[in-house]
Amino acid sequence: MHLTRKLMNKKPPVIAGWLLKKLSFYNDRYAIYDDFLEEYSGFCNKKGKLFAWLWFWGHTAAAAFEYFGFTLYRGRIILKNYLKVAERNIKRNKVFSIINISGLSISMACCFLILLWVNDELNYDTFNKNYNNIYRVIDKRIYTTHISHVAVTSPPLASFLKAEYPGILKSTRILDLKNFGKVLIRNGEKSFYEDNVLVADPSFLDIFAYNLVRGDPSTVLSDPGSVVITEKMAKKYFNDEDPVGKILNFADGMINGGLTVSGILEEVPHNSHLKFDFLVPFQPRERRDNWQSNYVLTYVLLDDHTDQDLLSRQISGVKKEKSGAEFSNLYLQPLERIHLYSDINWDIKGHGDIKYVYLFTILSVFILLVGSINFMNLSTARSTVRKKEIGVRKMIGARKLDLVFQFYTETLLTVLISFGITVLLLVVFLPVFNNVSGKQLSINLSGDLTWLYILCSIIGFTGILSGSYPAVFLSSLKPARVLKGKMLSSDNARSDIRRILVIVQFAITIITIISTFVISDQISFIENKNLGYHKDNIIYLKAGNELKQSFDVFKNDLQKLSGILYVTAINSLLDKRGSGSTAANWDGKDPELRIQVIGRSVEYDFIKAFKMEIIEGRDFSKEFTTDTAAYIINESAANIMTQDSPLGKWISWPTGDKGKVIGVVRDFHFTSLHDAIEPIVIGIADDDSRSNICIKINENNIADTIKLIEEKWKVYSPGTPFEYQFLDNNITSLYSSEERIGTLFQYLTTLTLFITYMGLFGLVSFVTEQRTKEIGIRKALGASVREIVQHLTKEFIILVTFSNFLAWPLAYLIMSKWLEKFAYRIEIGPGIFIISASTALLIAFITISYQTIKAAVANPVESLRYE
Amino acid sequence: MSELTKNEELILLLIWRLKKDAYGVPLRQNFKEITGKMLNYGALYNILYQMERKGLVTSTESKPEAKKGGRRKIMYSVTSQGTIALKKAQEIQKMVWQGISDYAFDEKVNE
Repeated sequence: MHLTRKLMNKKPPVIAGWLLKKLSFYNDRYAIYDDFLEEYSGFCNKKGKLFAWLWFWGHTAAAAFEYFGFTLYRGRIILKNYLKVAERNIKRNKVFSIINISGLSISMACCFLILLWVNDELNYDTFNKNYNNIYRVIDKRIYTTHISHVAVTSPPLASFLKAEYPGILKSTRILDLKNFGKVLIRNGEKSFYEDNVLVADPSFLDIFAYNLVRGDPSTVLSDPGSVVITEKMAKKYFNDEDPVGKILNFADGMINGGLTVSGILEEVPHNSHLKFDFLVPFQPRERRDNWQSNYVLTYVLLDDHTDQDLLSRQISGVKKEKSGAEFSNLYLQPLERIHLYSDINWDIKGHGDIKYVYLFTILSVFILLVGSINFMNLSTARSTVRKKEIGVRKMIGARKLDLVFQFYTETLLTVLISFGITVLLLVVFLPVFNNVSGKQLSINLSGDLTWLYILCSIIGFTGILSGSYPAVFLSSLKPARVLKGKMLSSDNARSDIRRILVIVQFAITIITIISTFVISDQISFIENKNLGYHKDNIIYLKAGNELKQSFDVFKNDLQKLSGILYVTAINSLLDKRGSGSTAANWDGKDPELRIQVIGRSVEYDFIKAFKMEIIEGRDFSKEFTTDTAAYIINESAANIMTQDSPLGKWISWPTGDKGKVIGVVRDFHFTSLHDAIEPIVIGIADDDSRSNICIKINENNIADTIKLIEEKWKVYSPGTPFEYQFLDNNITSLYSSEERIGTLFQYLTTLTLFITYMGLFGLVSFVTEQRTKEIGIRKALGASVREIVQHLTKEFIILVTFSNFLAWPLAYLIMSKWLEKFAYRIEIGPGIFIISASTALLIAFITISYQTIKAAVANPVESLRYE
Repeated sequence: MSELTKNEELILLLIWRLKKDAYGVPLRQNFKEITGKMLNYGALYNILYQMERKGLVTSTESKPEAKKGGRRKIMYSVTSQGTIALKKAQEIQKMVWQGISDYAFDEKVNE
């Protein structure tokens, strides 16, 4: 017994300790806690910490048990009785208990998983110790026709802001090369196309907390010829050699040549909005005074005391001043809002959306409610069976409080069993969930314990909520009536509440059905919408420098192959942003007009290859040598340029490029359907711009054709890996986050349906059982099977139908809010509501019919004998 | 006055025996040694509470132990009423068990 410093180092379990302290209230003494500590430290020394922990918890539970038992009449013996009776009840009605418990477990598990997902989404970028002081600069562009928030800024902005404003401690620019296509990286034999390259200033590592395993953060990016790679990349390119000091070759428009590895990064955490495997510093030749171009993202680190609102307003005119862009207004976006609140154009991809977070939080509450309502309904439905027991208990002296306690015990027992099963379900299904949702959620005892709080809250909430109604209800049954044997088949007041519960449950279910349909429809709408071009059977390849030069020869050679329909190229793929400019000029342009125009350079045949529709003028053609200075524009551009035909008009750019419009193409979506179509000007590409080769192949014998292309590739672009992709895959991946959410939603809806209908099944079987005598009598009096079935199901069908009325307006509300996010969206037509309602009814029918038909065909002789 | 239950009697006796050292931990440990059963703290303190309510024991807080982080223990001691109860229990015990030899309940040896 030595309360020495040893005790100080060995802390007992916190939660258990807290529980004990709460128990001591009863005694008005804290002695029990100290006693525990004494023995605990003894155990720690003698038998190790784990044993001591288990001992502590076990005895805390036992003590709690004793204390509670003590407050009941007759002490803890009665508590044992309650548990025994509860256990017996559960075993006696196996089917019923299984339905109850599994329904509850599934709903708790789903609720938990969703909340885990939500928690993850809400905690993006929190690993940064400067989390509260990091901001991104956004440009709010007020054009004549609309307002657009863009994330891209000019290169000189970062250093200018740091110099001019003392409240800004550090600033950095970043450029995600993903937007310009893949980069070919090579180390000797190993070469791969990578798309996780980030260009940044040296201050990047000071602002953000990406950990370096090797290298000093303050020097690792100071040499423009250096590169920092992640551990995974180190393994990939250098196996187990030390990569520091070695050279990696980059071949891309923006970075060319060898870069020396100067440091190694830990893997970027999954909850970072910036994802990269390579970190490269900006090259000094990036025009530092170029205020006209916008292609970098700017982040700043503020001093603790800086007023961010004030600063935000102060910087708003910076770009306006420096570049003459009247429409520009800069402001600061805090880091905490980037992942979920960025409805911003020209942004990096992969953001989540706060609307989904809301949607899923609501869903989690719904699911839990459904499970709880299920539980409450089923528990109270069987109450009539217990009436005699309750009557007897009341007779021998049970107070109402005791009965409440008894039924609470039963509920808690069921909830605890469900909890055990929930934990099992979670362990099994967490990896599956991670797969579907694309996250890496995990639950472990060390580190962030938020999941534990969530779990405990769910259990507490469910236990208390689901327990209270049955407990109160059952304890208030009047014994006299019961013992006299008057078994009413449906007690009116009670049934009303039960009916309301069923309605709410079904309303929720129908809302989820409707939502799933809407979400699926929207997603397939997006994917199948007529994009204005055909992307099927087109593969694309990234052209290295060699190939860019020898492109024409390569093209000729390829076209001789039989499976090839078109060979063309474009500087920046249709789904990437590429570049745009607000300084394009044309005949008759209103000098006040501020609008962003996108530019693309393509190879001849591009329009044909993608089956775009020329609605005025003509396509590019080699016959017209002047076409190298010609442009094709899309409808939106034409509409902006002029009222009548734009053909023949000149368009010029600040770089000096000029061209005449020779054709107008029908509008097509080149970015995701989230963004509205912007005006685009397409010109003929020079050698350097033919970075992405697009080959349209015949849909027959695709594999063979690709093999032949590969052979040609090896001739014209030796040493570079042959990596091709189908364009339609690429584009649908824009919607991968939508797809994921859609899939997740579908699964969850299915589960909700499952729970609800299982509940319905249980309820129906019970009610039919109760009315066996009634059915027997009806049959004996001549009712047909059909009439009986109708009679039995009538009530349920009415309830389900009624839930529709509740569900429809709510569903419509929720879904329209969600759809607002999309620039192109479906209309929620009446069809969806009708289908959902019919589905709900149909399944209800099927669920009910089994029981009712069985009851209806039963021999009345048997049922009237039923005791 | 109602009789002591078996557990109450045992614990009361232990408190009387332990004199100065009668608080939670040693009470529990000694109980185990005698009966071989582990009495969990909840039950123990329940019993102590009941007995205190009945007036059989009193509790006092001891001074804090003379070391860093020393705890204040709650010491229990038998009251006069408690002593009476013990005496009564002892008498009943004696009366009921009088004359029964130490070997009465041993296995009968084959004759």
